[in-house]
Amino acid sequence: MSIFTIIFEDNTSFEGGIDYKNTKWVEIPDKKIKSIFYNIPFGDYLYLIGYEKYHHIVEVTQDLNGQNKDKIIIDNIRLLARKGNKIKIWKFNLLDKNKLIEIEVKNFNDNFIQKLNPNFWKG
Amino acid sequence: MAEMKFLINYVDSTHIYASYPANYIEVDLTNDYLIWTKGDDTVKDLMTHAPTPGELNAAAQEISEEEDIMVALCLLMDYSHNVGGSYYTHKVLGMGENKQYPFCFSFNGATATEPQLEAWDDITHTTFVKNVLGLGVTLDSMIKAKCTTNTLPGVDWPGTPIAGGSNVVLLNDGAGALSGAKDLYSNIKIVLPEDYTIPAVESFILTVRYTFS
Repeated sequence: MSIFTIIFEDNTSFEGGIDYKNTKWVEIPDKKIKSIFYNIPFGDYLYLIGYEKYHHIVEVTQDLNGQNKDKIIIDNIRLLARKGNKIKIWKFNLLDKNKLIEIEVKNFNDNFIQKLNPNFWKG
Repeated sequence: MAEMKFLINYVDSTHIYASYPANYIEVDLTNDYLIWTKGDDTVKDLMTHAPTPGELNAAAQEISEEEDIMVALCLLMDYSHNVGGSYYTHKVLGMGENKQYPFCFSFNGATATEPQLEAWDDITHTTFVKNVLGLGVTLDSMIKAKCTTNTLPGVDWPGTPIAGGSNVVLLNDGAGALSGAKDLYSNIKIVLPEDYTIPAVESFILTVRYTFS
């Protein structure tokens, strides 16, 4: 099952990858997004509509000491949606199911938002 | 997804990886590790066997009663021992000095946010209560790091005491996400406080946290 499905304003669609290490987010065509159907880790989904732009972040850690044989550990995933000056952020914790989802709202001029890679905003 | 290679400079820490790749050894993150030590006639650069726990203990850095003291030597323990001969250890050149390129973090693509260097007790990344990490007080961490991607660290650089997820070093000098492949640099040292009362042999985890989309 793909991580996300995007429906564009022209009613075409785009399927994301099935692996967080290859989400295909960067391959999303440069078109106006109408909605996103996003599969939440461990089940359930989000359906987002009416936002202007979207961003996606896969956060990993890589230990330098050699005890994590898998090398790259996915810590959390963030899906961001912008409407006006407000950015709503859904954070999915892949290491602690008790804290699976955290939701917060930031202003667009927040330092964290400003230092995101601008090329990864879609929509 | 962006991927990172961790490299140490063992030839000349005034040269960048892109221009002088032969000056660097890529750290095998499964088998290699860093050794922080005072060093002696046995535990040193270019060892022809892997150091034993007893040898490492004998070469440990002593705490000074008079002054803060930097752990003198950082060695890469090279499991494959196939660089420049059959050597198990290579000195990280420029560690703790006013040198810009001892430790390199080479990214092969764009990131979503700025990569950062962290230090933790163990691979769970949940606590920082060991002596070397300040017993839970981030500012007391003995591990000092400085981003040197754009500039020299300076003479007697104090660095940021890194511990946990809040006291970290941003590896792109605070400039934010990487727009494409880029080599980032840091200098890292361990400074033992004057007259510290708890002698210890401790391991800790250095971690790079980074992102992609």
